[in-house]
Amino acid sequence: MAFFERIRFKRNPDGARIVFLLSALYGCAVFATVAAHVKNVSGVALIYEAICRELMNSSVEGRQALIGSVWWPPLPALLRIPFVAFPVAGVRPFASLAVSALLGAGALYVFERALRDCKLGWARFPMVLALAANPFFIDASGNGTSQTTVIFFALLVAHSLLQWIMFRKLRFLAHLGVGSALLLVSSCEMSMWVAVVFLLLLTDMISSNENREDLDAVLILTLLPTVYIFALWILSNWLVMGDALYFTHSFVPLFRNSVAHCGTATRISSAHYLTSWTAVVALVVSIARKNRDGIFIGILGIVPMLLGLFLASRGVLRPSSPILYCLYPLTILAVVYSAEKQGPDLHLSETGLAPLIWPYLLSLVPIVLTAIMILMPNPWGAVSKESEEEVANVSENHSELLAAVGRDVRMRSPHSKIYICGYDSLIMVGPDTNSLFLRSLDLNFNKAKSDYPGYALYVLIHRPEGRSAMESIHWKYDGIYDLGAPGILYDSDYGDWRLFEIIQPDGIDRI
Amino acid sequence: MRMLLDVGTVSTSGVDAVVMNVGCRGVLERMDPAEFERDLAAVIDMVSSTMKIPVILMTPFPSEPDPSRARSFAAAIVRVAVARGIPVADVYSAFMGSGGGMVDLFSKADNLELSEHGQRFVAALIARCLAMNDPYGRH
Repeated sequence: MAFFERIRFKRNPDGARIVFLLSALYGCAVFATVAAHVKNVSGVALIYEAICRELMNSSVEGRQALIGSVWWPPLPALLRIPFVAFPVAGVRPFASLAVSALLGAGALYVFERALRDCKLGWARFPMVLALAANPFFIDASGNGTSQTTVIFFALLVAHSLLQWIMFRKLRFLAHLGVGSALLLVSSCEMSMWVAVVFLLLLTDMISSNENREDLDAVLILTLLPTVYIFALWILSNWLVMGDALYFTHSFVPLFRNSVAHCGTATRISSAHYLTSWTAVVALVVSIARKNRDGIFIGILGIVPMLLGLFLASRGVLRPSSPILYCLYPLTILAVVYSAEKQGPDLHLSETGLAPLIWPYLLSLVPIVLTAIMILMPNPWGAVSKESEEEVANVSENHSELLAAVGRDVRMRSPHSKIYICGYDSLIMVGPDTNSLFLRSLDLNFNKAKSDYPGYALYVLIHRPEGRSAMESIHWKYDGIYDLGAPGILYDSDYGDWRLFEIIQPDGIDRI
Repeated sequence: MRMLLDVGTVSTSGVDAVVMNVGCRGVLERMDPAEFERDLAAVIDMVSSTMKIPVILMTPFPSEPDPSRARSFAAAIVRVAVARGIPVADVYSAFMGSGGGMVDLFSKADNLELSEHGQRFVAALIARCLAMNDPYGRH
């Protein structure tokens, strides 16, 4: 344990200079990435920002969007609200980009802190630099999505778990509990990862022969924030959606066969596999050395990949999934902890190289990994990022779509309404109810008919692909895109979008 | 409509539900959709009142050369069904939604006769409709 014993660093000018230099480099890299994303705006960033605007306008759709789906968890939207109030001209999803960059810096800080607590000395800086220069991390810091939010909380939780196990400081338990709860409302994909964290904590408590009262206290302290936040989510769903478990219904398509045709298994790139295999090697080393801390962080480094493979097999994993972005920093921590001086065979710090050189040798691992990813022709995998919806020029595509649909529908009847289903509708049309197009996150055909009697009503639905498959319209009306649903009739196709007419009993045929 | 006038004489013993495939002839003979809708409403009311068993309607499948010609008839069927709360096996939407895959659903070039795959597809649609609208309320 001496190797990992808590140390206190004195402030020194050299260290401050390096931190300043790293911060400056990170800032430049993020600025460059933001500049690259200004024209090809992330769809996720735009949607989260639209949710914030809707919330500030107190619209029903905003409240529904905030809490209505596990795939659009509330925390990333809430974090953006302070920034939405101060838009910066020329930088369209300013709030999203600002949150990405700030949480990216936060993730770097937590990562540096975790390495500092490993007593790595100066060798931690090349590792932090390797993370900051990693193409996935730098992309996450400048693309306006919530990936850095997830990385930040995942690192906080992993670091807190290890520190609690090693030093039993209550502070780390509090960090672990709050971090897990906030991670749960940042990314539903990481919920299984959080469950593994709790399982490891329980394993540690039981294996340490803690008394029953201590075990109870630890579990209460750790689980209470998560239970509280989950209960709050349930309550808000009951109040806003009228169904306490409404947000969990979007899990249902994950287990239906109908989603499988959207398979995206190839989207896990070789860069991710390389990182995961490194974590596996670190885990094997930890197991061989009977290094419990290393085993724990090794497991936490591998679980995101297993989750990614599961989601890919269901066709709902996107290249921008936060779980893939967590792989690298967790793997580096696994590598560092696998070298911890605990095992019976390998005492790196007592070899001839120790203790000065081996941390620098260890820092070669993240540097080499990052270098390989930078040199890869396409680290994002078989599917080019430019073809993905989240980096497409969303606004232009949607304008063309709406113009075409609107033209066709108006030719049949000037008194028409078109409901656009899903979260995309928030960035496609504004809140104006007098417009031809209406947004809908929880469409009910009967309510639509009663809201607009006498109108020709249509509904525009995106192909159930990727996260679109999780929209409420697809779990409320299973197979609606392919087979239709009661009370509606196929009308026409517009690329990946399909238009259906909502048939009114007292209507007339317009064709 | 002549045949349907005899509907009162059809035995319904051992029958769980009636699946009515209507509109195909109307599409081929270029019948007036409004007239078809009026007739269909009358027939459905008669069937519902005399046979006393659940009724399921099928929309006509689209056929060449103009697949969208069946749309008016499909819309009329859905409208009649919605007004009376009758479940519909929407063959028209499912065929049109299959896009290029529609070719496999017909056995001949004239797109009038369903292939084996097409028949299975329609059967699956009826089964789906039955599952969604259990005539005995076993949801």
